Amino acid sequence: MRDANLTVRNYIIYIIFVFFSFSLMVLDFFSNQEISTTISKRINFLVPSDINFNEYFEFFNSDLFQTRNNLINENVRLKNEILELRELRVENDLLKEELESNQNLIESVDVFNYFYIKTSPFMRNQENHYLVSGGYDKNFVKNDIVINEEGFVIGFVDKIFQNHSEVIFIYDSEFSMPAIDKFGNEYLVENNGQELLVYTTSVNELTSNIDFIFTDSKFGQPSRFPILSLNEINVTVDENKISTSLEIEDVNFSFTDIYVVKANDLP
Amino acid sequence: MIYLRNILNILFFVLLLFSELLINTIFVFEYILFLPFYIGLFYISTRRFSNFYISIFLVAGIYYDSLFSSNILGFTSAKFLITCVILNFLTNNQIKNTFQDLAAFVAGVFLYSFTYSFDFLQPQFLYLLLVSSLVNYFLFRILNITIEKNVLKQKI
Repeated sequence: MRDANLTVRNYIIYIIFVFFSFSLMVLDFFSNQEISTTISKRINFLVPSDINFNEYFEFFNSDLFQTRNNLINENVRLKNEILELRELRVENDLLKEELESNQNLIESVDVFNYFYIKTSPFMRNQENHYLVSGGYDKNFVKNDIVINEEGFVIGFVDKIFQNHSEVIFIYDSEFSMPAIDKFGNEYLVENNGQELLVYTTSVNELTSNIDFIFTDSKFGQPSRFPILSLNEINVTVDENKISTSLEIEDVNFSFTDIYVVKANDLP
Repeated sequence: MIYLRNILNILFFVLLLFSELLINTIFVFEYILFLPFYIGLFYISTRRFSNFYISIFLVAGIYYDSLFSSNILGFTSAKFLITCVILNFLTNNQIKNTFQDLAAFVAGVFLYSFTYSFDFLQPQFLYLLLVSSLVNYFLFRILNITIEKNVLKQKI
């Protein structure tokens, strides 16, 4: 009986503290997350954001974990690779042509108006979002775009902490970004958790020959950074809408070189 | 002494939470998440439930919300405390058996991993949680046997 009373009393105290947490949530929400920002600034030394994420993989890929079996398998793999390389030579010629087209587009971005802050992911949180180095200390702002080494937009900065930031990458279900094509059609690129949906929000010219869709200053973003290439994707053109969808698995990028784009305010 | 014990416990659980994030960053498996902090939470809720641990989960939640997530401050603390109470409620005054323990563990993992995003409703994510809870329950049992075995009382 006494134990039962004690348990009920414990429950009541736990529930009181749950309500206390809810009141913290309300306060933080109505203060525009000022409370959490202040706490985060005070205790940011607890986050080792300068650790290079890639170093982990180098450690796990090191010779220490290589087995004899792996080496034998590698021999077989290399033989197969020679066969594949022959096929790749043909594909290479096609890609060269595409690369030339890409290069033209990248050159069209006015590189002198922007500077690029190199960043690297160092941790993944419980919501499956990556935290990258650099935050208020590097003047990151919410919705700053994140690009890879090829100049393609791969995400945007969501929440900023003192020395790190949370980034929504293109394969996260919360990803949503406006875009434009060379004909002036406006799009929304949206991830629904299974597919990457691309559809027009404003049509200027109905065509399936879209090539690239990119960012624009019209949406408060740095101009002309490509988001997706729709060259080899089946684009649907309806009466007043252009749309397509991509599998998330098809959108691959490496974490080795990623940059946050900032506008150059200096004259 | 009580304060010192409380601070040490807070530090231990904060480290456990940090290690959980670190482990799941380094080892990216499609269907498995390692949840050392949850194992600790489950152990406390089902074996050592008391008011003493409120501050620990509250601070761990605030630590997570303010440094690692875009959640509103207090969301994770509330989630930890609710998980703790529900786990204790599910296991308290019940006949102890492995199946009932496992069912509570699985239910707890679903509560613990709750996020207000569409991801939570994806079948793939729910499958990931189910597989992860089985793996983590196995780890919990191993740990539980080790903790409960008092080597000093064993006869040689």
